[in-house]
This record gives sequence, structure tokens and C-alpha cells, in this order.
Amino acid sequence: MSRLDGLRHRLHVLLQRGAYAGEVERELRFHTELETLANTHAGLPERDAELLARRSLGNATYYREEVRRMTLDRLFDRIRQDAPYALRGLARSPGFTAAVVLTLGLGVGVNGAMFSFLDRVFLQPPSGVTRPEAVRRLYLEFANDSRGGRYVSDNIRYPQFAAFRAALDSSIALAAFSSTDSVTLRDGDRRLPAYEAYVTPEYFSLLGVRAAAGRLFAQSEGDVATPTPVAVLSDEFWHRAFDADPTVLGREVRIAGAVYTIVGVAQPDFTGIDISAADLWVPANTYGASGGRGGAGGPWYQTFGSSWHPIARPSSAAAERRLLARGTNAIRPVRMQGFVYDSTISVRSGPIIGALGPMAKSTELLVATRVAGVALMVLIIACANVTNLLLLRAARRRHELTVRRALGVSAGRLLGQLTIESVILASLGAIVAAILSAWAAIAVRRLVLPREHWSGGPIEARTLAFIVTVSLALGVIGGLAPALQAMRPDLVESLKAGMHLGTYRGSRLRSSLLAAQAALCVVLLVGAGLFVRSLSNVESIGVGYITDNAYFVRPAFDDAPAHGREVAEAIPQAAARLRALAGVQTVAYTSFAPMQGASFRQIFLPGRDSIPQLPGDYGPSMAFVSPGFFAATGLALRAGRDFSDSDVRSSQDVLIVGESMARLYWPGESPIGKCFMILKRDGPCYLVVGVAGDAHRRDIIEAPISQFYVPLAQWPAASPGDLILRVRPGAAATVLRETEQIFRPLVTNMVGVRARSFDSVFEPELRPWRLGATLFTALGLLALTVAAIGVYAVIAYGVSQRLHEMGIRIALGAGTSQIVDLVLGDGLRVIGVGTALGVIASLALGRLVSSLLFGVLPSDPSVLIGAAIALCVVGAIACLVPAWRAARVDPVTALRAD
Amino acid sequence: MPATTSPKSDLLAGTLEMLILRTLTLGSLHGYAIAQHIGKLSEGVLRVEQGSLYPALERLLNKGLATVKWAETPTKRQARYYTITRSGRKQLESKAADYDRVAAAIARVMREA
Repeated sequence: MSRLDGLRHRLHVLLQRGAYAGEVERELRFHTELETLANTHAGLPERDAELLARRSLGNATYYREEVRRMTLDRLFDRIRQDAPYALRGLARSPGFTAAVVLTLGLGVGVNGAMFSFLDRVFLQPPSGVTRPEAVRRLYLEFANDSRGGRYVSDNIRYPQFAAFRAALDSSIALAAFSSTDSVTLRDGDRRLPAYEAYVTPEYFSLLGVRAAAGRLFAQSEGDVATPTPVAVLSDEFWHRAFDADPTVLGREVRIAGAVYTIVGVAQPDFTGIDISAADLWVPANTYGASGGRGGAGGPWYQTFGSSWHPIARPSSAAAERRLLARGTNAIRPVRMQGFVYDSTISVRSGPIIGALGPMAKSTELLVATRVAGVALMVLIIACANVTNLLLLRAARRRHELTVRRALGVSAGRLLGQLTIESVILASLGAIVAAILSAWAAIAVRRLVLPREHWSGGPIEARTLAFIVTVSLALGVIGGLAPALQAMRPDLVESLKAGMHLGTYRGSRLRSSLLAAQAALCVVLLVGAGLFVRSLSNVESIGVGYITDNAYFVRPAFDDAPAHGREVAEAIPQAAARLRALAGVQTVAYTSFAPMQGASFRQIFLPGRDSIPQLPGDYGPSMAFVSPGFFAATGLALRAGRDFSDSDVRSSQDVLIVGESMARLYWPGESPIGKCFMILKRDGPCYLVVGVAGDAHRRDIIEAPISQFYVPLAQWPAASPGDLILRVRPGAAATVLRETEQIFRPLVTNMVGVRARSFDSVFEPELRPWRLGATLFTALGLLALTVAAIGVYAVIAYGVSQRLHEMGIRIALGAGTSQIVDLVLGDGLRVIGVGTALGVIASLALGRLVSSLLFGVLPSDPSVLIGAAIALCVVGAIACLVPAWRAARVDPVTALRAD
Repeated sequence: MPATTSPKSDLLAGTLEMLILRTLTLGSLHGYAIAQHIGKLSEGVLRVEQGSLYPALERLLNKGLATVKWAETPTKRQARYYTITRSGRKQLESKAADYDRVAAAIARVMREA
């Protein structure tokens, strides 16, 4: 109770300083009046009475000061006095200040960047959505028990979605949207790149998004039969591309070639619920009007435009369960051409943050979380460094601090002053960290998820708050140990003249901090080594193709109508002309580029009821190719022959099988001359004329699969879609230019050719390892630098304290190498202990990254040894400089300086 | 202003607070009245330095051992009246007990010597 009263009083004094001072004045005046009265009654003349009264009241200023002392004013006074003093002190030791600020900045900056990324991907719900925690994403889970395995997909076909919605009563909100796609918007003469998404009409109302101008989509704009070409812009796009011009409402623009009317602008902050920001939304029923990128006829799992992501807002958990059950009942597998889909489909749900849902096991995100752990380690190293540096500084200032204490400065005051110093350092560090974070956050975004169209800057309020909090915490914690040390009351000892005569007490705290830093560095270096090894292992996997100097080429358009037919006719003509070019080694074409898609057809082996399957494979895939395909892609032909121009519709139906498929179907025999039926058991038996090397269907790391090839000429239903060019080294640029010239007269409205090198196709696969290698190496080097600074500082301080001792040793005849050994020995001992600890820790933590590695175990001895050696070498170098300086000490000066 | 208080002034400050608290058990008083009371009862031996009276009262307020309120005096003036709190009374008891112990010890020593 007393606490409360006391607090209340203090608060009153604090909050109403002026009024309280007035009260105090009145009280003193009252007292003086009464005293004067008493004196007058005692017989003194009035003036003397007053004087006497005033005098006996004593020093009113003292009283006022006493009152002030008990309030926060005291704190502000102190700060006003101590801060400039601290700043001057820091300015006088620029090396120390720079080291601390840099260390803090690096450690916190890197963590700020990781925090910003992880916060955006995992923690922050999309902005602009009302009560985002109630919105659920829906997924389809495919289970095929006969072939084993299940997988989850966030894609649903429109007919499935329609069936789903029909099965629900109107009270449950269900909507769907497509992934954002990059398109060109033509407003008069202006061409604007924009990211477009298709949405069903309930999309905005389900998410609770309102219009900032105009209107959003109406329920009537969902009828699939009557496309309604209206568009809604995002507020950011409206400002960026149209300067928030209100006259855009009602304006007609061309989006990917089709005409749309802009009817509204969404509320500010809303850019969709994926990480990729959308600039404009159009109704789902206009899909197809824009000529469909990847529409019907495109690779089946790249049906980008015709796959939808369903979302719902169930009112309760029970409602959600009902929703999922109804969906599971209503959704039927889509019948693919000639292929029976025998998986069972069930509907699952996940939170609105996609990275937390059932599909979120992307390797890149896993790597990112591991890297966040690594960043934390760097933070710990930075903290240890800051503590060490502050300890050293306090040790150097012992003399000054003890003199001040002897003069009467209270321990609390000293502590306050050291804290102010720490806070100033931390603030400077926070500024450096913020700058570094901004840059690093962009780098992390681009490294981990480069295909996303990120909205919002990399540094937001939450990240800044994180940076400031962590910096201050580090500064204060780092300053704690030295501050407490400075409080120790052995004044006499420290003030003794000739304190250098005192033995140099190596601080145990300092050594253990150094050892901890060394250990963490080793762990980081081991991580870097493991990822670099994994990367090189993956890069050296053969995918079957020869990836150098090879490109997929197709003409690109930015307007509406489907150019499929045009392109299909143009490609063989272009190929014929390209063959004559000097820079071209081989030319071929196919229906879709390798590793970009696969076609599946039911096949039947004569005389057998079922076809053998490779484990994990879901059926033989077929590719439609032209003659010369194998030479162009670099795929080996193991036996038999390639397709030739004589393989036409009227001649024998032929095909070429992959070697794994050949081994599987006809073990031990030559497959040449064998045959099987495609699509219909009673159809023609396609003859095997060649065996090709295995090529990967989709991933770099893949189990063997069954695949075969058929000539395009014999399959009129398939048409050429991609040109494959193998060029002579160095001729790529010229050839691609010529390709564009060749295509131009053959197609209409072409804006250029899109050429992708084989290497770029595999780049997404390599990305997790590239990412891990890059980030771990960068952070490992960072940690090494920070630790090296720490080692240098500690050893240098030790040497400076032992200058006297060194002087004596040299005077007594010690040689350079002996002095160096002495200093080096001390330093290396600590580093050695740290390294050993680090190796043990690496073995223990190896489990966490083992799933991300390839071809190398987390306990790989060469990596461990390499990391340990690297650290010891760097540590030795950091020790050498002060050691060498110690050896060159002039004994006379050292002994004289006291 | 020395930040460390010497033992002597510590004792004095504590004693003064104790005397003030004791005075307040008689009722709510303003500062002048408290000083007069102590002076009178101690027959002039203990003259409260006004310069230390008000800081002592402020300390009591900060520790929550007393509260203060503006009120009207019998002579129709406005003054700040101090009232002891329950924890003030408790503190007074323990301080008084300490003081008795110390006084008895001093007396014993003096008698012996």
C-alpha cells in the first residue's frame, strides 16, 4: 500500500512539475509568515522578524533541489551532463567506436534482413483483408493408393470449382483467383507492364476489400457464358501508372490484346493475397478472351491460366469441416485426353498465409529458415564481440573510473554513464544496421524467391522496431559486464602508482567469449562448406541433355488472339531456313520444350495385361519431336536410328524409347523391332526404331522415369511449339538476331523471340543450393571478420598491458620469435578450444541441415577439417600483428613508461 | 553535493523522520506545526532545522509513509496538512524499536565505562 501512495506522489510531482513547485512555494511562504508572526509576537520589529524567519527556514534552494533530486528531473540532468561526456570519449577512440558500431551494424543488419523476409513470408497476413485469420485457402490432395504417394496441389480446374460452388449453399463464401501473370496494358499509345490476376466475382467481397474509387466486381460478372471485360486496378498501380487520375474510370484499355473497361480501384494497401503483388484484376470469365498463355493445349501441369486457387471464409470450425466434406464429394478428377486419372481427391484447408499451409515445403523456404538460424549465430558472435570490446575499453579506463569513484561519484552514477555510452553506441549501430538491412533484405528476396513480384519496401515499421530493439538490447547487454566490473570496489589496488607492475590478469570472461565466437565461426564455415559441396554435386548431375550453347526459342506476342496455329506452321519453315546459317550447328523442334511439360497417354503392350512401372513414376511420358531432336538437345542415341523426314503419316508408325523404359519393358533384349499400342489397345502397334539416353522429365534430382518419343509428322494432333537451337560457341547472339528476322515475315504482330538457354531452365532447381552456398558463405565470412576483429582487439590489449613485461624479456635477451610464440600461444590456445567446441557443435547440429544437402553428409570430415583450419589460420593472423608489435618493443621505452 | 551521505547525517535524517511520524500520530498537521511541536516537547533541545524539515517531509511522501492535502487552517489560511498512513505507523513502530535498542546499548556502554 505504501508503495502505491509513494508512487502516486512521485507521479504527481513528475507530471505536474510546475504546479507542484508552486505548491512548495506556497508552503514555504506560509511557514515564513507564521514564523514572522511568532517573532513579532515575541517582540521583534516586523522587518527583523521577517528576516529571522527567512533565515531560520534555511536554504530554500536546498529544499527545492532536494525535491528535484527525487524526481525524474534528476535523470534528465544526468543525461544532459553525461551524454556529451560520453560522446567526447567515444570520439577520442575512433577505432574502438568504429569496431563496435560496425560489429553491431553487421550483426543486427543481417538479422534485420532475415527478419524482414521471414516476417513478410510467414508472419504478416496480406494487407487490406478484413479479419485475415478467418480466411482459408483450399487445396486438393491427390491420393493414389495403388501407386502409393499423395501430393497436395493448390490448383483447381474451373469445372471442378464450379461443381464445388454448386454443392455449397449460398451462405458459404467461396471464391478463386489465379496466380499473377505479367501482361502488357495498352492505354492509347502507352504500353504499361502490369501483373494481372483473374478472380471470381465473390473474391473482393469474401476478403472484405472495398473500392477506393468506382466499383468492384458484381455477382453478375461471374457467368462463364457471358464474359464481362471489366477491370479493377490496384491503388498502387493507379497512382503509379495513372497518377490517380479519376478519369480512368470508364476508360477502355487493351490488356494482353483484349479490350477491357476499367470500372474501379481497390482500396489502398490491397494487392492480392499472394506474395506476388497484383496490379489489376479481371473477372475469371474473361479467361480465354486473352488468348490464353498456356491455355488448352499447353503442358498439363503448366496450365497456368486455367488453374485457380480457391479460398473460403467459413463462419466456424464446424462450417469449415462441412465445407471440406462437401468439396471432397463434389470434385471429380478431370478427364485427361485418353488417360484415366485414378487418384482420389479430397479437399484440405490452410491459413491465408500460403507459406504456412500444406504446400509450403518449398526447399527455398527451408533454406531460408536455416539461414535465419545462421544469422542468429552471427548475432551472437557480434554480441560477444561487442561485450569483449566494451570490456577492453572498461579495463583501459580503470584508472579513470577509480579516480572518479574515489572523488565520490556513486556507483549508480557511473553505471548510468556507462549505460549512456552503450546506448549511444547501440544507436549508431542501429543506424548502420538499418542501412545494411535495407540492402540485404532486397538481396535476400531476390535470392530466395526471385520470381515473386514483391510489394512494399524491404524495411517496414516492424523490421525497424526489430532492429532498434535488438541493437539497444545488444548494446545494453554488452555494456553490462564491463559496467559491473567497473563497480568492483578495489579502489586502492587500481590507484597504486605503476599499475603496470600489477600482473596482467587474463580475464576468464574475455577468453570464454573468444572461444564461443570461434566455435560459432566454425559452425558457420562448416555449413558453408557443406552447401558449396552440395551445389557442386548437384551441378554435376547429368540431366541427359548437353546444356551448353543450346536454346529453346519461340516467337513472343503481347496481344490477344491465339497464335498457336501460326506458330505451328512457322516453326518448321523457320527451322529449314535456320539450318542454312553458319552459326547454327543443329536445329530441331518439338511440341513443348524439354523439362517444361510432359504428355501422358495410355499405352498397351501386346500380349501383356498391364505395363510395368518404375517406382514413383506415374506413367510413361511422351514427347513429340522433329528429326534432329537428339542431336540438337545433346541427348544420346544409344541404339537404332533417329527419326527422319521419311517418317510421315503414310509410313510405318515409329517411336524411340528411353533406355530405362526399354530395360523395364524388355529386359535383356534389344527393344529395336518391338512395338506397343498407344491410346487404344486395338490401334496400330508403334515400332521401336531407336533407344535414347534417359533425360530428366522435370527435376535435376529425379529417379529414373519411362519416356518415349514420337515424330511430330505422324501426330497431327500435336503441333510444334518450341524451336531447339544448338549454336556454335560464341555465335548465340548473331543467330538469335537472325532468328527474329526469319520469324518476322512468318507470323503477325510478333514483338520478338523468346529465347531461353538450357541452363536457365535448370536454374530454379539449383537455386536452393546456390542460395545456401551463397548465404552461408557470406555469413560465414562475415562471422569470421567479426571474430577476427575480436581476437585482434583482445590480443592487442593483452600485449599493451604486458608491455612492461615484454620490455623486460627483450632486455633479458628474448628473441623476436620467442615473443611472438608467447603471444601467439596464448591466443591460439583459446582459438583451439573454440575450434574443438565448434566441430562438436557442427556434428550435433548437422541433423538440421541434412535434408537440404546433396551428396555430402553433414559430418563430412574434409569439410570439418577445412573449416577448423580456416579458423585457426585467420585467428593466427589476427594474433600475429600484435605479437609482432610486441616483439619490436623498445625495452628502454617500455621499462621507462610507467 | 556529496552523493554518499555520511553515517552521522544518515542517523539524523532517520531520527528526524521518526520524530515527524510520531508527531503525526497525534493528528494531521502542517509543517510549521510539526516543527513547533517537536521544539516545544523537547523543551528547545531539538530545534528542527527548517532546511531539513521539508526535505524530510518530502521523503516521507515519496516512501508513502504520509500523505499531504491542502486544507484551511483555524485562521482561515491555506496550508498543506500531512497525514500519517498505515505503513507510516508500522514504520514508526520498527524505527522506534530500533532507536530504543540503540539507546539502551549506548546507555549500557556509558554505564559500564
